[in-house]
Amino acid sequence: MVSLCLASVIIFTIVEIAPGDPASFMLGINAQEDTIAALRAELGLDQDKLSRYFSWISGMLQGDFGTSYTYRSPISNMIADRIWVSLPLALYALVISTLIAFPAGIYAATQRGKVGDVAVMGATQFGIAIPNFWFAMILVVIFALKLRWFSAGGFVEWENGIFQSIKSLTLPAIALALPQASILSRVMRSALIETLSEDYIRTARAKGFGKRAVIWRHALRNALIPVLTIIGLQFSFLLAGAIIIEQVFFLPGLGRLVFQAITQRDLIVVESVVMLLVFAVITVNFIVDITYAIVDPRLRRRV
Amino acid sequence: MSILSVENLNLEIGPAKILEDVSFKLNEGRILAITGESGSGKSMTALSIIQLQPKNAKLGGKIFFRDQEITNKNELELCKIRGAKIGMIFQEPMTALNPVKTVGDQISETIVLHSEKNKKSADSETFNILERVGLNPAINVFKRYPHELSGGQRQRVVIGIAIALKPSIIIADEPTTALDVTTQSQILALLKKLVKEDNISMILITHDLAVVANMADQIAVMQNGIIVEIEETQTLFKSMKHEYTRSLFAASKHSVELPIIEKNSDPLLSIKNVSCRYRLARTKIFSKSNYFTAVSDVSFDIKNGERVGLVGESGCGKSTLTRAILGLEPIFEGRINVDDVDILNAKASIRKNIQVVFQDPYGSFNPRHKVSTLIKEPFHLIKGSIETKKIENKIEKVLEDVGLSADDKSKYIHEFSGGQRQRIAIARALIIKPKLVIFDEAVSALDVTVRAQILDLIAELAAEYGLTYLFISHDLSVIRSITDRCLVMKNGKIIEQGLTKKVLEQPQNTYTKKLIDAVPKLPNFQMEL
Repeated sequence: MVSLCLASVIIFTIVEIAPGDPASFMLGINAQEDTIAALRAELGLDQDKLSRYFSWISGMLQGDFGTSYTYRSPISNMIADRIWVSLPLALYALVISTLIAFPAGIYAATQRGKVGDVAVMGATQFGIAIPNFWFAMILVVIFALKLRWFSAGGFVEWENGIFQSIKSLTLPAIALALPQASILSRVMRSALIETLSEDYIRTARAKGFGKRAVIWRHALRNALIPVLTIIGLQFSFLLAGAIIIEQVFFLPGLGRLVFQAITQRDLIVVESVVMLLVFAVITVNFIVDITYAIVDPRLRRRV
Repeated sequence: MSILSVENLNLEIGPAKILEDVSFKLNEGRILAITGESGSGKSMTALSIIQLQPKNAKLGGKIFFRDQEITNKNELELCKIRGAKIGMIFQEPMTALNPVKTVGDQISETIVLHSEKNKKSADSETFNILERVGLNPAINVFKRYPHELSGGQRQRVVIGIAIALKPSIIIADEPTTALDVTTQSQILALLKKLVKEDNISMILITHDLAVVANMADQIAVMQNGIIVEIEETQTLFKSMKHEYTRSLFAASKHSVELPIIEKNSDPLLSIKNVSCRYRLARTKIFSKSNYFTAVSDVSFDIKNGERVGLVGESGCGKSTLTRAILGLEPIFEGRINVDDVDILNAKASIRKNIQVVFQDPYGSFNPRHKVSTLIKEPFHLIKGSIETKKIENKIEKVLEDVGLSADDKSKYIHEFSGGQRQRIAIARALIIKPKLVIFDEAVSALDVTVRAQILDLIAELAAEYGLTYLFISHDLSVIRSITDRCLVMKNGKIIEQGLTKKVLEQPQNTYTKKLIDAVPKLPNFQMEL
């Protein structure tokens, strides 16, 4: 709660400091002074900052994000449309990245120092180094232009078939997931290696468990704690950081919305979307915290 | 017939020879103790028997379990022996159990692994095992996680895992080293009982000669990877053929001559009705905060020139009290004065009168600084600048005083052994000539021979520097040899105090008596030299 309030103040202040008057921007260079003033009054821009801040906040609390300056339509509708692109995209990318990272990380940890480990770590090095918009374009060239398995961009609305929508999100999700998967598998590997050197692993081995059984039964759950932290951070990044990928694939997501809003000085949209992202990040972190307690009984409080 | 025989075991890690030609036989139903100082290869011998030596180690020689050779078995066959035929108990009960699994599961999974039983019958067997190792079923141990149990209770769980399948052999690697004396005696008694009941043969690895003497039928003494002497317990203690055995024995009975210092009647440190408490986590959001009182209403004085010991088991509040004296812990009630100045308002000029030597010689130094930088740190407590040259001279002097050489100042801390590091820690404490030094378990992490040397050093320095100190330890023999007066602490209170000799020989309090009785004693079939 405290962090939400703080975030709202900071966002509002920063956006207000940014140069550019939405009213004069909307009306063009040749606009008359009094027309601009009239528009400012209409948009509520003539009121003092404090009351604008409070009307923004109180509106948001009631689910009313205000009206976009440029599009003159309620922001809540705009966001609602877009979030059904961005949220599934982020989740999809997260699933892909986890599905790649877990096996890769576990494999590398068990092969520590051997060829398999070096190969996986080398691959993740590439994954981190390659800019994902470039990787996205390569994916488009191969899978959309050459093989024609996917379309090169655009989004098929959910009403036209879930499968089609997922298909249209696949390439962007892969592009988004690549660096995340690389980071995650490195974290997985080092967490697992560290766990495997713990005393209780030796105890488990002395009980007669084989190497593989020890990993599944004892090591993995303990190694999951640092991995969860990274997953939490990544989800927020995937949700907010998809701006470029959304541009590359012409996806009508939140990233594109913010991007357009910034170029058009549609301040209220920027503020609202950023606020929403902050909310999402905090929620995700909260979920991660709860998951910690599920994974690690030491973090539970005895009831 | 011997149940386990080890023949010419050699172990190399890189260029270092860890074990050399280790051979011994373990007979059925007997307890063989392997003793020696750290680094002598005791634990490596144990790990080699169950073939869990480090990956990069090269193992030579043969190990037979009954008549099967273990050393040439594959991983799958080994897994059938580990846990089922040979059980293992490790030193650190704090880390030996998986923190995210209930202790019941950790025992019952062993049973499921090695027998045809299903989870349910393994669970019900686990209940019996938990009761057998002395864990009260009323507190529902089965469903608890390791962090909810004390050190002693966890070690009971580890023992439970080891005996779950009634193995032929148990290897116990320092099973009680991390435990308090009273807990130690309980755990040793439990082990002895179980081994007898199930007719298990045991290899007991420990550095503690007194424990060895009371438990083992046969003793092997190891030094630098070689078994220097292996004998029946009685014979070994009587004859002590090997010089190293004798030196170990002498070191563990070591006593030092404390110099007599004129005591001055003004209290240097005065502690009056001090209590410290911690806030406990709330169980409900709006419930009142609960507090745990770690130190409650403690008062005592230390006069100039006095050497005072503070004894108590873990969790008794010694560490909290120490931190309070150092001004590192908020005091809830009472006052702590040093030289009549309240420690809480103490400025650097007063702080410089107290220095401390901590337990862990490995963790208490910044590894990136040179020894000279580490030692001269306390100088920032002294106002006004001192010439660099003078400081350098002091560093060299103090290094020589603690038995190192002046050249050591330009080395890094990892180049030193545990005992040498503790000397450096003492040098750091002494360099600004403090009035009071606090030794917080300063010799607990050291081997017996090194411990004896450090105790000698402290006694020497006590004469030279006229030291006043507070020596905190759980080890009564250390307290006996190095203090004039001692305080016994339990549950945050001082329950007995007086002259060390008197307290240890004629304890008044029942807890003190219990504590003294729990200490394993070296038997008195003394050397007939």
